[in-house]
Amino acid sequence: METNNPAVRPPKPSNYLALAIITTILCCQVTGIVSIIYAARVNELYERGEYSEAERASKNAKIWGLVGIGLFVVIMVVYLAIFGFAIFAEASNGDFNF
Amino acid sequence: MLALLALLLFFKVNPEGNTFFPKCPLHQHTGIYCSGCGSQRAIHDLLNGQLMEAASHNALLPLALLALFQHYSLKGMRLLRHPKTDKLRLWAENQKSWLTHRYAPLVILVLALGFMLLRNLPFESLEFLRP
Repeated sequence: METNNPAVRPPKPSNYLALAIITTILCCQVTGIVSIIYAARVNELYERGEYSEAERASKNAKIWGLVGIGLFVVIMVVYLAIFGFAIFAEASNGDFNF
Repeated sequence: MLALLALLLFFKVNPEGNTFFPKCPLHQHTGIYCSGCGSQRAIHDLLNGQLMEAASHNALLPLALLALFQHYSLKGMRLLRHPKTDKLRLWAENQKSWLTHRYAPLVILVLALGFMLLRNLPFESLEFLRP
């Protein structure tokens, strides 16, 4: 039985908000927003004393955040595989001015 | 290493008018601006020290980066283990990261969705929010 007694509160699970923001900025608005929603759930559930639920929301927030980062990496790899040559071509044309 | 290269690329090359920077598939297919639209241009502007330019491409990005910077620099300072840096560590331990605030996720959710909504509304006066 869970209780609201602060003395026996387990530590608050991370809500992975920073990860969610990075995901939202980097690429994946949708998974980022889902992750932010789970982050909000973590805080709410924890405040209400539903600790195991909060733990679950925390896991979901992490998963959705990481899915976003993973998607970003996959997209970048595919993108570079397709357009990598074009980038190097442009670089050798002197457009970069390094 | 890769991240450094990416930063150098964003510093040197303006995504505006360059064809090889990835374009947002959502915008390409639907014409909708999401709240991340313009962030590549904004990063380029920020790296060149032009805050206002960056904000004009994506008003939320500088804010988000500021919050992330605060969050991770506090985290970093708390890891310091040298006696000389004890003061700094203690100070950081007493500071609260904005992101750990109870309503931070809700505020960010409202900001992101509200920003997305506003920049897609067809009003002339909202033009400054669009990338």
